[in-house]
Amino acid sequence: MTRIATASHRDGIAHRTSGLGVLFEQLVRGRKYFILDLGPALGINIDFWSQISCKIYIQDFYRSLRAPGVFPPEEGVSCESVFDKFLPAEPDVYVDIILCWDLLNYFKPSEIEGLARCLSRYCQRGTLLFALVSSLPQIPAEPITFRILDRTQLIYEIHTQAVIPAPRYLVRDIIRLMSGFQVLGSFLLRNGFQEHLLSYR
Amino acid sequence: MWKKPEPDEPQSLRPLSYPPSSTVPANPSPGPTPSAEVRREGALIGQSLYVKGDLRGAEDLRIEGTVEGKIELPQNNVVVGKNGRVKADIYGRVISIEGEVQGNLEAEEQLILRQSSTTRGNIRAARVILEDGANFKGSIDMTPREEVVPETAATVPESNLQDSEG
Repeated sequence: MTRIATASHRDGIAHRTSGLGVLFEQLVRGRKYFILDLGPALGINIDFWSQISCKIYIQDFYRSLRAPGVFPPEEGVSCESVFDKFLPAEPDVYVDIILCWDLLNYFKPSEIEGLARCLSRYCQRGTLLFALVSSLPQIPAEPITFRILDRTQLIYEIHTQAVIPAPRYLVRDIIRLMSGFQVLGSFLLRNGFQEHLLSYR
Repeated sequence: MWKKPEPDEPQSLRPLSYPPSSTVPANPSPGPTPSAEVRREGALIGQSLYVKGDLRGAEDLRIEGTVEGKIELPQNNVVVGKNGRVKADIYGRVISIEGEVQGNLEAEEQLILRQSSTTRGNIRAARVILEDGANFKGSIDMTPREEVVPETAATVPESNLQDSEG
């Protein structure tokens, strides 16, 4: 693990989003949305979603998995069985939007396949999934925090100076690994993020 | 700040003070700030107290001790202070959490999760304020009570969207 100083460490960085904007265009006024946010609870994001009638499931997925002894699972234990513990436990929960943020960068291909299977249990046809995948050779050693400023802008914060090699998943990798989902749009941005908007078939 | 107890006044009765309005979330957040500090008479569950059961009433409540069960004060404000440890469902007018809560929270007006709070459960309120640093996992339902909207997931049209390979 290489430590490289980043000028942006602990400073918020503006990110003009294309994929999230397209997601918002799909929203229909006057109906209630169910959102599954795999990121941490952030007041600004809750404030943003409060503009629409919604119920948000906040899972803080990555931090939950990084608790001691949780992940990776012991031999013989599937990653899905671990993932299930940190997804909504209520029966018959279906969501319209899944915010995956940059989590896919931190999973191996087999783990992404397992995550896709877990998430599909909460999906109906048309459920949207938003993810950012890095196209750069290195990524921060921990997921980034994304704050929604408005429909076109995010602020992201890097919490560590440590970096790790990025898996650099391509669109075809995402299509293959996220079984059940199809790509509605992919947007390669100058800052090295590629945004994917997926829809459950 | 605190009312001085009269000689005959039991020591357990203390006036409540609400979370100060000067506590500003670290992140920029649109919308109104929490209501100004209001001192009202109310009840206090002190740090050394452990209460198990259903709490109902018609006065404000501050919890600095341990409570298990259910708290129903729909017309009043409930504060779980920094030392408060609550394993209960809470139903109040304005609910503010500074300590630890495991349970479902329902606020008629507003629910505030302070920076020092740890909350596990489902929240329902017209307005939710979550300060940076607040530790929360669960669901937040922000549908106004009187709003009736269809809840079925929409079918997204496969429109001609921008599509680029990375």
